[in-house]
Amino acid sequence: MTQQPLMENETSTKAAPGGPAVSGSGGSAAVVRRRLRTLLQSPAATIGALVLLLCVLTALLAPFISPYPPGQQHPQDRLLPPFWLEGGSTEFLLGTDNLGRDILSRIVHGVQVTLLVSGIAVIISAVLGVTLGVISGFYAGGWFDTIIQRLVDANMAIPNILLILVIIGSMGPSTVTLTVVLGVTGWVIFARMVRADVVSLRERDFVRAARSIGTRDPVMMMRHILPNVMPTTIVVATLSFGTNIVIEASLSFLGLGIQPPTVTWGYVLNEGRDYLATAWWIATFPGLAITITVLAIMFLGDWLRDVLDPREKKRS
Amino acid sequence: MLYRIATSYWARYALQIIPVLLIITFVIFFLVYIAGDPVGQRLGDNASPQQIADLREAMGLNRPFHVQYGEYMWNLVRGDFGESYMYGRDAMPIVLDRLPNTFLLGGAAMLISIAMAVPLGVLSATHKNSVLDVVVSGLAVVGKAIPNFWLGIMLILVLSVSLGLFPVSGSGSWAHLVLPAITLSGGVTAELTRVIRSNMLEVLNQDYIRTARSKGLPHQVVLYRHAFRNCLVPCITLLALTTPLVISSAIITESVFAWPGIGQLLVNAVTAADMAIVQAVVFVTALLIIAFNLAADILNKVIDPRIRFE
Repeated sequence: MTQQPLMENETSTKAAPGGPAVSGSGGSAAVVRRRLRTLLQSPAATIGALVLLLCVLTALLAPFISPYPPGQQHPQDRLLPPFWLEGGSTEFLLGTDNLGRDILSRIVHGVQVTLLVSGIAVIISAVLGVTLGVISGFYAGGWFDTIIQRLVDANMAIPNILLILVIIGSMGPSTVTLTVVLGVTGWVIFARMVRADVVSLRERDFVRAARSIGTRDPVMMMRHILPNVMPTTIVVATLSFGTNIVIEASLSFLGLGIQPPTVTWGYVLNEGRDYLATAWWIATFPGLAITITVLAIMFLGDWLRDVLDPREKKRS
Repeated sequence: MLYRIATSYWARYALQIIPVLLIITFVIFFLVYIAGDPVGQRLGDNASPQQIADLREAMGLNRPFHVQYGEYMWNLVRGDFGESYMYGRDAMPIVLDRLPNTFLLGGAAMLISIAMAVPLGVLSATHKNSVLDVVVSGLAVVGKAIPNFWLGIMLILVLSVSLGLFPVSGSGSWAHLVLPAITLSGGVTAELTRVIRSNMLEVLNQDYIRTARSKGLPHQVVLYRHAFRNCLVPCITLLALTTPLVISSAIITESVFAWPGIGQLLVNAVTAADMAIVQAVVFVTALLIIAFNLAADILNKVIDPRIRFE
C-alpha cells in the first residue's frame, strides 16, 4: 500500500467549515473562487450545480412563484393538456389533472418535500455513519469494529428499501417515519467508506505524532481524523441524497411514502397512472423532474469525487 | 476437483453466513418490535382500547422481549413465519408460490441486460470517443438516473397505450413479460455497459491482445475470445452485486405492472400491515442474495483459475 500524500490543508478547512481549524488560512475567498473555477471547467458539473440551485430556489420560493396553490381545483379546466398542445392554455403551462389542479404548481410544491425529506435523511445517515465509521476504523480489529462489520455484511444481504418497508409495514406510512427510516437505514455506506479512510489515516505520521504526545483517543478522532474524512463524507452524502430522492419518490408512488394532501413528485406520478390513455402529461412531467434532479446530483457527485478525492479519479 | 473446491469452500462459507443470518433475523424482529405492533393498523382508527388490548393478548404481544424473540427464532428454524391474515394461511408457502414469477421476471431482465450490455460495452470500448461511444455512455448515465417506476410508466405510455404492442399490465403470456423485463433491466444494463467498457479498455492495451492481433487472428476472435473473456470476472461479480438492486427494483416494477411476484406481494402486505408475509419475503430475499453472491464466487473460480478461495 503506497502512502498517500497528506490532504491539503485548504481542502480540509474548506470541507469542514464547522470542524476544528486544521490550518489558520488567510484568503478563504480565494479558495472558493478557485473551486468555482474548477466547477466551471466541467460542463456537466456546472449544469448539475445550476439545476440543483434551481431546485433549492424553487423549493424556497414555491409559494411566490407557483401559479396556483397545489391543491386548488379548477372544475372547468379538468385534464387540460400542456399549453403547446391543442386545447391547452397558457394559464396552465403543463396542463391540469383530473380535478383541474395545475401540474406545474404541483411539481413546484413537490420539490419542497422531496428536498427536505432526502436532505434531513442524509444528515441523519451521515452523523450516524461517520461516527460509527470513525470509531470502528480507529479501533479496527476490536470488538466494536467486529460488530459494525457484521452489521455492514448483514446490510449487504438486505436492500435498504426492504428494511424501510418492514418499518412502514408496522408503523404505517408518514412523512416523519419515512425521513427517519431513510436516515437510519442509510448509515452503512457512510460507515463503510469512512472506515476505509480511517484505517489508512490512523497510520499516518500526524496521527502517530499526536498519539506520541499523549493525545487522548476522542480528541484524536475529533481533531485529526474527522476533518480528514470530510471529503469522503461529502461525496457519499451527495450520492445518497440522489438515492434518497429516488426511494422517496418510489415509496410515495406506491402510496407507502408521503401521504396526501402533501404533494410529492412520486404521488403526482401515481395519480397520473390512471390517466395514461387520456392525459399523459400528469405522469410524465413529475418523472422528468425526478430524473433531471437525480442526473444533476450524479453530475455534481462525480465532479466532487474527482476534486475532493484524488485517489478516485475516473478510469476511462 | 471442482467438487472438492466447492465443498470445502461451502463449509467455510456456511459458517460465515450464520452470523449474517442471525443478525438479519434479529434486525427484522427488532424493527417490528420497536416500530410498534401492527395491531392498531390492522383494526383501523375506530378500534376501542379494549379491542386493541384483546388482539394484543391473543397475538402474544404482551410477553417480554426475549420470550417473543425465542419463540420467533424457534418458529423460524422450523420455517414457520406465522399465519398471513390477508390469506388466512401460512406465510411462507404463499411467498414460495410467488417466487417463480419473480425468478422469471428477474431472469428475463438479466438476459436483456447481458444481451444489450455486452455488444454495447465492447463496441464503445473498441470505438472509443466515437459517436457511438458518446451516445452509449450518455444513455448509461441517463439509465442510472431514471427511476424505474417512471421508466415503466413511459414504456406503457409509448408501447402499450400509443402503439398497442404489449399489454398494459398483468401476467399470463409472454407478451406480458416484455415491458416489466425491459423496465427491470434498465439500471443493470446501464451499470454493466459501463463496467464492460472500462474493463475492455484496460484489457485491449495488454500485450497478449497485441500478440493475438499480430499473429493474424480475425478481429472478432481477438475481441471476444481473448479480450472479452478477461472481462467476465468483473462482470459476474457485478451481476451478483446487483442482485439487491434487481430485487429492490423488482418490488416497484412488479407493482407498476401488476406482475404477481414476491415484490407485488410485499407491497400489498406492507399496505395491509400483514407482517408475517413481510418478514417471510425479507428472509427469502436475504437468502437469495447470499446464494447469488456464493454462486458468483464459485463461477468466477471456474472461469479464472488464478482466483483462490482463502
